[in-house]
Amino acid sequence: MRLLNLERRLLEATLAGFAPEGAATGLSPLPGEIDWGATFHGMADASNGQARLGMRAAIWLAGLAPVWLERRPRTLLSLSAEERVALLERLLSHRSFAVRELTLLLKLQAAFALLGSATARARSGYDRDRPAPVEHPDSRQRLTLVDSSARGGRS
Amino acid sequence: MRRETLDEADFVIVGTGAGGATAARVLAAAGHSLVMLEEGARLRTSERPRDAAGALAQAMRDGGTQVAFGSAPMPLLQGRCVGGSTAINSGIIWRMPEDVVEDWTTRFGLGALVAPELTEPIYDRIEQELEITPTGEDVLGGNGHAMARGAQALGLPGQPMRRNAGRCRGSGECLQGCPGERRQSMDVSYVPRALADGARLHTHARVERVLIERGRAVGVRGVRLDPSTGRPRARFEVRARRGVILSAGVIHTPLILLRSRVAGPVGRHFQCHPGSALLGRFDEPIRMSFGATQGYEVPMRERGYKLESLSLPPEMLAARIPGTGAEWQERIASLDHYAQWAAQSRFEAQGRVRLGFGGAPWVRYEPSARDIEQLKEGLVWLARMMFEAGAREVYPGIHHVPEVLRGPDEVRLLEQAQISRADLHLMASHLFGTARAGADPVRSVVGPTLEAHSTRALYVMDASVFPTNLGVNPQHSIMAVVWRAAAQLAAQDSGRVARAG
Repeated sequence: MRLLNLERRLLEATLAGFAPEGAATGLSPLPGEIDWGATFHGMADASNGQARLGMRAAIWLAGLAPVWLERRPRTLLSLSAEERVALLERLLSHRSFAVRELTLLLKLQAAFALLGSATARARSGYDRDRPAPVEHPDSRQRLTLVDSSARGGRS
Repeated sequence: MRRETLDEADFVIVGTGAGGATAARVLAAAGHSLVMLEEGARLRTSERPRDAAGALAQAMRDGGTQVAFGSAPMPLLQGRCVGGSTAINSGIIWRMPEDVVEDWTTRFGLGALVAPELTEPIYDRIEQELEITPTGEDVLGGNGHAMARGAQALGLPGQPMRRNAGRCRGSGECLQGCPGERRQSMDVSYVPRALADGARLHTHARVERVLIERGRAVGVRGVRLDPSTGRPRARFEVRARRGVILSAGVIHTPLILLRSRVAGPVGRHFQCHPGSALLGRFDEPIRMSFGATQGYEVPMRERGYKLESLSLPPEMLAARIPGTGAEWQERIASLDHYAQWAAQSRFEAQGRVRLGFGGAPWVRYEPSARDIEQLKEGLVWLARMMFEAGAREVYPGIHHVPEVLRGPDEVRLLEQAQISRADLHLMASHLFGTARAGADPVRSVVGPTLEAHSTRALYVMDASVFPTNLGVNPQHSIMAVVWRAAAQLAAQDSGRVARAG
């Protein structure tokens, strides 16, 4: 799906808005570490027409949220990092299901872009102390059932 | 677009998931020539992406964005590759529950298809061939072990799941394709077995309609897709001398039937098992990165739901964690401290699948208020189990409920909440019933042999024929029902007793 230049800028600003650079604590992207737009195009190419329409609508919904949500004549591009975070938080808890879901779709793309980076993933702790897989066929045993009368998988 | 006759065989099978691959395994072993057609690709395990976005894009229909419409859209997850949904699921195995067998026998006249004396030997055989065992304690992982603790503390009937992954090593990558091919999904079990027995497989072949001549199915017509772009490249036909078997799944099988003008309640009675999940944050590491993707379950079928552990890749896990900015960033800096468990519910609602704009599917589905209340009860149990297992915080992810519950006393906020459909994030991967089977030609599309009432030599062999949902994971029931029907077909066609394999 081809985006207009403005759409691309709104998309990248929105996705980066979920996890701004330079946060004092937590998982903060390093400058230039995340390609925020790349995941969007991969997802859009695999999606059906309805989903692509929704993805495009989500960009405009968030990008113009200062106008329709706060009645301020500006786009998300002109907001500070703190204002973007606050705006996205409001959209995620909005009373309209459609607004919440479209914003969540953007958050999903932000998470895919952020954790899709090997270096950011390493800092997330997800793979921390991941045990090496072992194979002990003889050790396979059932855990004790609390309720022995419970129906098992063969009912 | 150019047109070609792609192939010809005794049987043509459309789709290679649990239904199509099992039919192929039985008919090929019985000596029939057959052609399998698959819209997606044959994915080599070593070539499957390990990242969530790549995995969704490559192996799932519409990259995981297919939805049912209603008061709020609900994602419907289906595989689109050789192996179908078995190539992306967790391989959970349940035999068809006794009350379902009884219901189908008395209300739909399907005793000849599902009677226990007929199906028990089939279940036994499949379980032996697909290495089905309970999940070992050594690969239950932190997510499964925590759920076991929570269930045991509350006296709930928990147990390790039985799965078709007897040699599982706990890589936690069922969605991306088991790295060691230990999960016996159809792409690494029955499809290769059918090929070894002489079947032929054409991928990137999307079937659009059945060719019917003088009331008899004689082949299929469709388009070949460009493997790199997915765009139509050429039209094709495959001729079938003895029969056409549709196993394209609960959404696309009825679309093929509708385009082919097959009579009956095609597309009606769509059912599913919608589910929703809770996250818990623990002080000690859970390490979702190790262990079976799904290893532990609490079956509460008499209450209408089943609780399951469900690990996620880091990208999907992070997206489910509440917050934005610094708050979210702090939470996702310790992704090894989260557990996720889901409630899958047997909803009473029925929907419909139709041909939409441009031939695309249009699915309409609206859960009832009772469905939502039933699912909420399951979610309340999950929250209680989370705290009993030691969670410091629970994230329900439900509108009108606090986004963070900080102790067992706060579970009542979830319990007392008036929740509507639009407050929940629902998702469904078990789909049923758009070409239901039954003895009555007015109320069903296919009969007890799974042959269409209105069209000779046209068979439907997937979960479309299930007249009701099950309340348990359906893969095993699909395989057994299809095995039974395919064995009957093999015997009938060759004039000898069915002894496939």
